[in-house]
Amino acid sequence: MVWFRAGILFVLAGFCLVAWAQETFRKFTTTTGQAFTGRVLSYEGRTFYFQGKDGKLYPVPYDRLSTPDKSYLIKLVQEKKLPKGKPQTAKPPVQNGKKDDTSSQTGSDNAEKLKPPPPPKPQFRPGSFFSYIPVPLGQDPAEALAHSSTDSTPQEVGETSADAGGMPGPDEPIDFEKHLMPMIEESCLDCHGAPYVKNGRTIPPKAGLRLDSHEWIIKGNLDGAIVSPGSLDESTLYQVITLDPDDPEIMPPKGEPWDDEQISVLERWILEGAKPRPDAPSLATKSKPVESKTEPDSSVSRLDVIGKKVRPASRPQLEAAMKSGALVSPLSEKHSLVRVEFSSAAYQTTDSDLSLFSNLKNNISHLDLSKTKISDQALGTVQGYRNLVWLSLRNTQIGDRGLESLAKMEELTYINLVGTKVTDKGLESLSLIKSLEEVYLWNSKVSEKGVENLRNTLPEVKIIF
Amino acid sequence: MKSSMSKIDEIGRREFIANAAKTCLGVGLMPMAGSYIHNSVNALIPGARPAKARYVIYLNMAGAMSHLDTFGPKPDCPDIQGPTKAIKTSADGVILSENLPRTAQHMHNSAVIRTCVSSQGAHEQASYLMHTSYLKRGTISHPTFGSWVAKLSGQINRTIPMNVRIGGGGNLGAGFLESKYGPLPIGNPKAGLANSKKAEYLDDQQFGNRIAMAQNMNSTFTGRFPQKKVRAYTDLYKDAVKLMKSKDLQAFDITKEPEQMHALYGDSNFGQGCLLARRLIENQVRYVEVTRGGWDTHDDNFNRVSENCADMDQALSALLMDLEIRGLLKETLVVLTSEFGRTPNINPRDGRDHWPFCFTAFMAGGAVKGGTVFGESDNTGRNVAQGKSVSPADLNATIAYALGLPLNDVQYSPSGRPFTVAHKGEPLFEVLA
Repeated sequence: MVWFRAGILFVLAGFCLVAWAQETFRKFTTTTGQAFTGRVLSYEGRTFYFQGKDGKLYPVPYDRLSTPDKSYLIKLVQEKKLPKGKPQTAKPPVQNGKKDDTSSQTGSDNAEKLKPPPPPKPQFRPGSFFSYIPVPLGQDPAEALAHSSTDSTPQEVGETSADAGGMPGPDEPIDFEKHLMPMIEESCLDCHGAPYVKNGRTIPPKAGLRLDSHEWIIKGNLDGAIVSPGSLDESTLYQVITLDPDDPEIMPPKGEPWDDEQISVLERWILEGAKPRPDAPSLATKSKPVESKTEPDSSVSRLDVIGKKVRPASRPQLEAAMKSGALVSPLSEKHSLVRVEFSSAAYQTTDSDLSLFSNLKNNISHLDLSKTKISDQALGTVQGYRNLVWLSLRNTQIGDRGLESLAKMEELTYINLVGTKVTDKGLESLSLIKSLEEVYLWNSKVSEKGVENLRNTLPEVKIIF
Repeated sequence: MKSSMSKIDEIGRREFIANAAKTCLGVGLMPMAGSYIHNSVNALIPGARPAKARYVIYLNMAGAMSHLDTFGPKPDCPDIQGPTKAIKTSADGVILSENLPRTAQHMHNSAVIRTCVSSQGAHEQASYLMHTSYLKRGTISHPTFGSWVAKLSGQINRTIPMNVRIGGGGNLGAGFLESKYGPLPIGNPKAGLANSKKAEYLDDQQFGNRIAMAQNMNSTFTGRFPQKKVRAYTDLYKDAVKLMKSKDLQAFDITKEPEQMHALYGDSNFGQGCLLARRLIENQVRYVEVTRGGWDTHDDNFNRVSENCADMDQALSALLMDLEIRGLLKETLVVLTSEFGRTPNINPRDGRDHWPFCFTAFMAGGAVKGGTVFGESDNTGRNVAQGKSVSPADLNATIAYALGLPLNDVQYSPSGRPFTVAHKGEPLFEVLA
């Protein structure tokens, strides 16, 4: 009688899965030599869900399966025969009967052992970093707390699993749960999951960083936020994932680095504002005023705009450039643009010293060559610094020939030619630089008439003569 | 003339040495200048945001300048204004007193804050507050604002000090910060850096021999006590020699300037001080303070203020113009203020007394929103009527913000007490570009 009822339930469960072609039962073995009979229903990340002969659902980590089983599963996945996500319909038999106890003893003794231990409910002492529940910006705290108290991960994944893991279309906004979370789950949660208690000790996530929900990703760890909505340069998460594969700091530290497609999903998500849902209005309104606030002060925000396009210079790069005797310093913490100045070393600086900056040439925004011994040829090198905004050639031997090389500069706003050999002819080259805002010509060889001409061609520019 | 602040003329040699002795590891020998530059850091410290200004010239009107007769005239109120008239400036709708005709021509590059408020009404305490952002306390000596700038931004030119104080102005130093961040005092700008040249009767060979001999004699001691302070003492000599031989030493020598430059700034001590300040900024000294005393006009206010203004106005306008033609004003912040203002009421001796409740500060340069006037006092010039009160901490925070300094960077005193650059002052964004 009991067996009969279990059989009916099994058949019912089977009917619910008709959406995907059913796999046949076969024998699976584990790396430790245990074996069980079952069929695979679906997978999620690196966990495969099997249905035993008894109709119960067994999640099994991929890594614990033997090699032939692995290749069998890979083949299924590659042929897209397996759905992603935890199967929802296989639950009823598990919850249903008391007789499960008896059946499992006989039928699936081995499979029982393979089941990962149920996630323990961690207890954290009050005041611990992990005992705080993150509340996203712009959300009512009461609502957020109610939401997160229902220990989110399994249910949330279950809800969205139907179409989780696919790549977003080119103009589709990134859905955090649907597009990004599956990738994070696969690569990151082994180390950056929820803390758990093992042998009576709490095992915290590495670096105190949890990535298992949107709130935690936004919260970051004690070192600060790891995602800065709208800015890739300030988002450490993006930075560590996109490091060179040989870099010791790259994430994930083991296994394949993220491919371009995965990175592009993360990139788009951050640039779209790192929202929990594509159309969440609360965060969208929050991020807007920040952008408009930087607009009024034009020159600084312009530097920021250029800075965002450039990869930040690494410390070894800066140190190599300092060998020239120059001070090379970022404009501010985390800014990718740098200021180069030869102050103490100015009297010994010649053209050849500029060759040390070839690795940094897109990062240089401010270049102070005043009082150095450089010649016109040096400006040929300077021409390659395409993000140069500020250039001082005060009291150098620069003349008209040097300025010819600068005609194509696109970002240059300030040029100081005080005490140089520049004449009216050099001003003609200057008039080609459309981005100029300030030109200082005192004590150079220019004439009243040349300055007048320059004023006519560049009427908006402040020219001090 | 009653206060010691008005006697800030050239520092005597002994006083100079004593000053240095205090700030330099407890030694009072000649090469004191070296202590300000030794052990320079290898890289600049990037600020919290891109710096709009990198250098500061702080013009300290010691003795408390009468704000009503300079940057905050009240022409509609003849009772308190006295005989001083107001004039138009190069910025629309901004008026200054007739004592500042030349500065008025630079108003389009400058801003005036008319609601400065200090909590201190005595010169020494107020000056301390203005310079350090903290109240004077018996238990601690706070660093001056220039020392904070030096500490938090780092040295650009490795051979000369980062922080220089010209023309006296008290003996505040680096406080609990390392002495190298403190101001190098220069009494008389015309004399430059005193005792810094190699004696003429020594040639290089002899000089080298003497240094080597001194080192030789010290070697047993330095070997036996390899401590930080002992090493610092050796560094001090090393850096003094570096400075002595440096080409940048010329930055301190205003005799290298052409005659018309001297004339432009005026022959006053303050004018020449400003000229020296400009030379130093050109050589990337971070912070230069130039003091002009003689503003404590308890009697005969109007004549004395206009006399003082004559050379202050000339020097200030010359400084702004000179920085501008060299393209340096863009990165230099020029600040002029005093420890407090003077009473709107004119006393029976035709003077004005101390008034810390509402006075003015003047700012010019690259980081400043030109032609701005922030705040206004009430009709009688007594209290703040429009805009918020700007405390010394707020004023310093404004400068620090323009320099890109981290306002919340905490430095600890030796006893472990936390201090920040502008004592939690709030920057006045209204005057910054």
